[in-house]
Parts: sequence; structure tokens; C-alpha cells
Amino acid sequence: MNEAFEVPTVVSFAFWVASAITIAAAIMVVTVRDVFKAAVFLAGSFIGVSAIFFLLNAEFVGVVQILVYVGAVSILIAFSVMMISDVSHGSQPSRARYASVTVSALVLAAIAVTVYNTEWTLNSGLTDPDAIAGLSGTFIEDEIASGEGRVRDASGIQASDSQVVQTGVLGDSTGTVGALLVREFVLPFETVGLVIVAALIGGLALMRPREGEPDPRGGG
Amino acid sequence: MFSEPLAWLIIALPVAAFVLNGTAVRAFLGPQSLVAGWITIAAVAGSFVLSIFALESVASDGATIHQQHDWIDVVGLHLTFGILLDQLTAIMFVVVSGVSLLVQIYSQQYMHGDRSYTRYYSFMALFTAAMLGLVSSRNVIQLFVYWELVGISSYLLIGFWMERPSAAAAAKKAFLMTRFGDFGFLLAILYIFSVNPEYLDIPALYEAVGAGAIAASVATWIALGLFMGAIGKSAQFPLHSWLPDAMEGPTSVSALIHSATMVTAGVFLVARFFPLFEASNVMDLVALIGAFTAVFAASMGLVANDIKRVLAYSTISQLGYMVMALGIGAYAPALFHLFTHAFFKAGLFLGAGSVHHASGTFNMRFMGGLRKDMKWTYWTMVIGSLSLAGLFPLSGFWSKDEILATAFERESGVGWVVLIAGLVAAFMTAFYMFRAIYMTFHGEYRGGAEVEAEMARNANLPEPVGLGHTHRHESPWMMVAPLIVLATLAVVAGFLVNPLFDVGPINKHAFATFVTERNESVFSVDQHGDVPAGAEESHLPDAVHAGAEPEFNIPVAAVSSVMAAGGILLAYAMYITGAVSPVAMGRRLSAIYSVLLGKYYFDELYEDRIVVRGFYNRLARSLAWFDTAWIDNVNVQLAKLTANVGRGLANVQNGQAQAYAAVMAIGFVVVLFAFLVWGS
Amino acid sequence: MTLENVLLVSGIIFAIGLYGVLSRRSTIALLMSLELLFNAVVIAAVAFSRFTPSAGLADAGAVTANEVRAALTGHVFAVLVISVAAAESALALALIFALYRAKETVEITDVSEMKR
Repeated sequence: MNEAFEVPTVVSFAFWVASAITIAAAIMVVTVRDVFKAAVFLAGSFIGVSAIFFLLNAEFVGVVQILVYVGAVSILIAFSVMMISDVSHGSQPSRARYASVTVSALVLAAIAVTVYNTEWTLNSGLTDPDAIAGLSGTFIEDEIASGEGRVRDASGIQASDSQVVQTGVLGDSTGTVGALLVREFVLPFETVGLVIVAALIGGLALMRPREGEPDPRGGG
Repeated sequence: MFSEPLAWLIIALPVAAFVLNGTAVRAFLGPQSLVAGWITIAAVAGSFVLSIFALESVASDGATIHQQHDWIDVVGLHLTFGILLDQLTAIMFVVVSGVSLLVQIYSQQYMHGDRSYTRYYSFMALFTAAMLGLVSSRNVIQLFVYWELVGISSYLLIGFWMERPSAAAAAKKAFLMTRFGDFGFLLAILYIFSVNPEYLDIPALYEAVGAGAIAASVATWIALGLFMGAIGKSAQFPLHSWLPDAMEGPTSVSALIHSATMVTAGVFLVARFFPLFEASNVMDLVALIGAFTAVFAASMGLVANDIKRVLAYSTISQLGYMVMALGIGAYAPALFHLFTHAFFKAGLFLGAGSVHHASGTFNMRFMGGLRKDMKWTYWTMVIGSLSLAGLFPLSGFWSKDEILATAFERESGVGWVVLIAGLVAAFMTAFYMFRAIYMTFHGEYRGGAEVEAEMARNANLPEPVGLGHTHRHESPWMMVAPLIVLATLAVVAGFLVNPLFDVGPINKHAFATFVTERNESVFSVDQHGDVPAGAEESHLPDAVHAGAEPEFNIPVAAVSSVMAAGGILLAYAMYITGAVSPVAMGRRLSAIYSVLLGKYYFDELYEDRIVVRGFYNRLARSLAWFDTAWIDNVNVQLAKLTANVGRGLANVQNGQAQAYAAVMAIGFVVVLFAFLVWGS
Repeated sequence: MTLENVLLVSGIIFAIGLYGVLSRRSTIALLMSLELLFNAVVIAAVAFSRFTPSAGLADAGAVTANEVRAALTGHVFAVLVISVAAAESALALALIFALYRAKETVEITDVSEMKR
């Protein structure tokens, strides 16, 4: 075990608090009858999740979570709830509740058993000082012929003028994620862009008033 | 030297006639074209002339085995075909094409005006071609093909008037019953094939038999199968009952096929494989079957009232004669009898056709007194009957007597059985033939077809089919001429062909010598019974061997002549003078009479007991029950099971997305737990 | 806060979401439950990124910059999943509106077109 990956007690405490809030909000989302209230609880749950992201050193994902989920999806759902009068006065009592609970409990059990029975390869098991520095310390990246760069523990080395002492990727994830998105994962990234465009067009096509049907906006 | 193309031409000419009649003539000149008759007559005449040449060639140069041609040559199967022109073939060529020619000429008038005249002549040509091919086949499988062609043409001709249900049924019966025998033939072929495919070539088979390369047990099984085929085709007991029914065909067909040529195919088959039969253990069986059939069929002929049926029973009886002759090793006498029988039996049948032409019926009860109206028919039929009865010096006497003399010389149990059966059959034959003659030609005219139809109407019976019109006068010369030719042959074909002493250019025992002694291809074994070194000892005494020629035996001839004369006299007493009343006799022997009239109830046995009760009611019904109760039911139950399971499972597809998702989740859990328990 | 604990939290949220998906009648509530499922998955991806090394780091040999960056693959996937989820929810809402227009209902139990 090495200290570099130890989680501070305060962070651990914050995680449990955030988890408790998230789980509680999630339970409310699936149980309250008023769909509008459920949407509000959903936004709370999203915020809890983003907090967990921040605690997991994933600042960029956390920000995206807030922007996309809390800022866009929750609002979208809330507006939908308000537009469909049917649901604003409450969802019908859920059916097959006990069967659903059983199935969900089984899935949870399966996940839990798997999680606790697996021998995970953990960061805390790393011994290479370069690797530890690259993840959570500070390091220097060599410029070598291939352009890939070699990571070296910066603590014992004096950086030259052309070299920059970098923070480990877990400490400063945003820049690294950005680099990954436009380098190694540029193809999935662009594909996701295409998917979003397709989804938008599909949504518009579905919503377009059909021939002979009254426009839902009450127009022509 | 008779070249191979000429030999093929003998077969090809009738084939060409068949094709020409069946296609061009039928299509362009109509179903009643006289041209069809002339085409077939010309073709058969060509075959006949070539056959004479072939006979002459064989007589001067000996047997010719023409080369084999590849028929089927694939891995593991090499079949050949070719012409085997030996003495047996040459004689059969002449007999078949000669009788066929006369019958074709006769048919020009006899079938005149029939709706399907063209069809008749194409079938007759097909039959002639098939029979000529049969007798000249070199390969057993080739022979079998012709054998079946003969069978199908016989079927077509028996059922020629297929609009009559009885004719259709008779054709079916003939075909199916001969198929029974063919089954044995086929098994024999397969057995030969399994022993050594080379032996399918008949000369190779002769060679193997001569060298003793075929064990007696193997030969026995093969011979048994072949004899089964012969029993079917030659209407021997117990497959005899199709031949009387086959008289449903035109009389000219009966004359050619069911007396002179096709039914002798079975005898021919035994003769063709005679060395094999000699090497086997079935000779006694052959002799006994033949002897039994000879008496058995003759006894049924005693009471038949249909003139064609009388002749049919006579044919079966005479075929039994030939078969029993072969069974006691009398190869030459058997063929000699085949030869003479072909002429007088064909003549008798054609005479019966001529009688039908005048009286319109075949039922002898409605004939009588025709002697005055049809002199030529009367005398030719009397000559044929005398010959058939075996009276000196007609041809039937000589051939029958040779068989009996051989049987006498055997001095074995089987020999005595054959001799006694032959004598009894001779007596019966003489009786029923002259009974037929007297009922047909003597006494008062009893009205012919008109009276028969009227009596059937009065008795509220369906009118007999095939009745013609009565016009009591002699048949046209085209019908009488063949009768005269055949009657002449019935007189001379016996003594002059196989005389007792040298008659001018004809040597003593010319026929017997011809078919045996010079036939080295068939009898590679020394003619006088010396078995070559290395060959297996034949179980038959030396004298049985085909080469042995019986001397004329005065006592036997005398006894058989007395028997025949006795038969004639009894018929005379019963039907002319009335000294013995047939009615009284029938009453006194009513049990025997009804058994004979019922044909020993073999039709009932086969059709009612075996086919209907045994086959339909027991076997077929139980199989049908098994089929519905088990085979079908299993399927029905399976289908019901499938339907029920499907109906049950259809509920799963309820269209509810959440149910689907639940199933997915459960599946996920199951897979995950399975992985945890059994995985890694 | 260990990997196991974070994954457990992720699993709990997933189970809650699954319960919602299976039991909710209103399609909008169902959509919300679906978003919970997505979130559970994203938490798991980020947790792996935080607690487990990439393959290149765990083996022997020099550590390269790419290997270090690969440790954040989970973050990238999180971003991608969130994007797809956003698109999905937009489309799902469009479907819900279409359903509402066609059938005057948003109850999923009233829809069984898949039966045919």
C-alpha cells in the first residue's frame, strides 16, 4: 500500500453523505406518485451523483453531469410533465411492486457478490514510482523520438527549461480528458455528435404534426 | 457366318414396326389403318427370313457368340450386352417369328374393323421384338429386360379391350402373378451378381458350370430363383391361374402369346440355364412341378365350356409336359415338344378364333354342327387336336413320346411319376380336345351368340361380353391360310424334323442332334456323361445328361397311343353316340365335377382367402390400425403438444415492455450467478 | 471510500432505477428511472478510472505518457455515456409526446403494440 492513493477521511465522509443523499433522492424518484415531484427529486439525485464525481477526482465529468443532467435533462423532463396534463395529477400506483422489488434485489445481490468476490487490481498496489507519480504526484514528460513521451517521477529530477512539471492525471483530469477526447477517442467522440444530431432530427420528425391531425399547439 | 448386325436386325425390324405404328401411323393414318397390319407383317416376315438364315448358319457353322458391348460401366458395376446365337436361340427365332408371321397375317382379317387396329399391331410388333430379344440375349440382365418387356406387352394385349372390366382385371392378374415369379428371377440375378458379376454373361456362366466353379448349393439357389420366374411366366402350378383368364385378349393374341411363344419363355429360361439346373439339386422339383401341372391343368380342361379356356388349360398342361421333361434331363425332347406344340397349339387357337368368327361366341354350349359350314376350320382343328392328343404319326406323337420314353428309361421314382403323369395327361388331353371338337362341330347347331345373349337375358344375368354376330360360313382365306400352314406343320414337323431313321437329306434324330451334340457352347461337359477333371460330380446319373438320346420305345408309344385313343373314344361315346351320358356322369361324380368346374378353387384361395382375408383384412387392416393409432397419432399428439406449448408461450409475448425488461433482468441475474458458480 | 463501496453505491442506484423501470406506469417516470440507470453506470466507470490502473501501468517496464492518460478512459466513457443519454432522453420524450398524441395516454401498460 502506498499513501499516494489513500482517501482522506473528510473525502470519505463527504462521499457517504453524497451517496446517502443520492440514494434517498433516487428512492423518492421511483416511489412518489406526483411525477413533477419525482422530477425534482431526480434533479437532486443528479446533483448528488455529480458530487460523487467530484469526490472521485473527476471534475470534468462532474461538471458535464451538472450541465447536461441537471441543466438540460431535468428541465426537459419537468417541462414534459407540465405539458402532459395526464401525469401532473400523479402517476398511477405502480404495479407488480413486489415482483419488481424481488428482481431488483436479485440484481443488486448479483452485483454486490460480484464486486466483493473479485480480486481487483488497484492503484494502491502499484510500486513503480513513475506510475504513481503519473497518476497522483507530479511528473516530467520526456520528449522522445516517437513523440509519446516517457513519464518520470519529478520529485528527484530537475526539470530543464523545455520541460514542464505536470500534475498527475488524477489530480488534474480535465486537461487529460480533453486530450483523450480529441486524440485516442476522436472517432467515438465524433460519432456521439452524429448520434445527437440524429436524435434531434428523429425527435423533430416524431413531433411534427401529421397530415389531418390538429397541431398540438392549437394552430393550423 | 451370320453377322451380328443381321442378328440385331431380327429384333430391330419389329421394334421399327412398333415405333412406326405407334407414332406415325397412329397419328397420321388413324387408329384403324390397314397399313399398320402390313407394316408389322412385313417386319415380322423380314425377321422370319433372317431367322431362317440364322438357323441355317448355326446348322452349318455352329453356335456364334457375338461380342459383348459395354452397357453400364461404372466403378463396381460392369454390365454388358450382346447376342448369343446358339442352337436354342436359332430354333426359338424361327418358332417365334414364324408363328408370329402367321398370326399377323391371320389378324389382318380377324381384327378387321376393330376400333384400335393400329394399336393392336404396334403391340404385337412390340411383343415379337421383345420375345426375339429374349431368346437371343447374351447377358442375364439383358434377358431380364426383355423378359419384362414380354410381360408388359402381354399385359397390354390381354387388356387390349380394356373397356371390358374382365379384360382389365385379367391383364392385371396376369401381370401381378407373373411378377411373383419375376421376383424370384430377380433374386437369382442378384445372387449371381453377388457370387461373381462375370457370371451375368451367359457363356461365362456356362464355362463356370462346366469347369465346376459353381458349388451345387449356389447353383441350387440360383436355379430355384430362375425356376420361380419360369413358373410365373409358363403358368406352372401354383402360379397357373392367370393364363385361363388371359383368354380375355383377342384370340390371335392368345394364339401367339399364350400358347405358342410367350408362355414358353419360362421353358426357354430353364433350357437356357440348363447346365446350371443340372449342376443344382432342383431338377426333381422341376420334374414334379411339371408333372403335377400337366395332370392338374388337364383335369380342369375336362369340364371347361369355353373353347379358349379348354385350349388354355391344354397349354398349361403341355407346358407342364415340357417342364417335367426338362426336369428329368430330357433337354432335346423338351425343346422338340416346345417346337411341335407351338405349331399345333397356335393352329388350334386360330381355329377357335375362326369358330368365333362364325358363331360369335366362345361358349361351346351354343355351338355345334359347324362342321358343315366350315370345312377347312374343322379339318385343321381335328388335325391339331389329333396332334395334341399325340396320335401316330402326327408331330405331337413324336415329341410327347420322346419325353415319355426318356422318363421310362430313367427307371427312377421321379421318372415313374413323370411317366404316369404323362400318360394320364395324354388321356385327359385326348378326351377334352375331342369333347371340344364334338361340341363345336358335331351335332345340332345351338344358336351361337344370339341364343347365349337371350338366355342370359332370360336368366336375368348380365349379357356376356365379347359376343359377336352369327354368320355361319367359312372365314376368309387370310384366316384359313395360316390354319392350313399350321395344320401341315402339325403333321410333318414331328417326324420329318426329328425322324427315327435317315429320311433322305434329313439325318436320324436331326433335331435332337442339332440342339445337343453340336451345341458345345452349352454343353461343355462331355456329351456322354464323362465329367471333365476337376468338375464336381453331378448328382444325376450319366444317362440323364442332355446328350443322351432316347431310343424309340415301342411299348411306351403303344401305351400312350392307347391312352390317347381311349380318351377320344370316351369323348365319342359321351358326346356323339350318347352311350355314356355326360349329364349322368356329372351327377354321379358331382363332387369332382364341381371342384373341376371351380378350377380347384384356386382363384378363391388366392383372391378371397389370401388377398382379401389374409392380406386386406388381417395384414392391411392391422397395419392401417397401427398407422392411425400409432404412427399418425404420435404425430397428432406431437402437433397438439406443440400447439399447446405455443399457446402457453404466446402469453409470454404480452407486448408489455416492462415484462420484457423483467425477463431481461432475471436473465442477467441467472447468467451472472451461473458465471460465479461455474465460471473461472 | 474504496472501490467496492463506490461500486456498491452504483449498484444500489442501478437497482433502484431498475425497480422504477419495472414498476412505474407513467412513461415519464419510467424515463427518469432510466436516467438513474445511466447514472449508476457512469459512477461505476469513473470509479474504475479512479481506483484501478490501466494495463500499461500495472505491468513492468517504463511508464509512458499514453499509459498514464489511459487511466482516464473511464472519464471519457462517462462523458460519452452522458451525451448519448441526453440524446436518448430527448428522443424518448419525443416518443412519449407522440404516444400521448396517438393514444391520449402515457401509461406504458396501455401500450402493447409489440404483441403483434
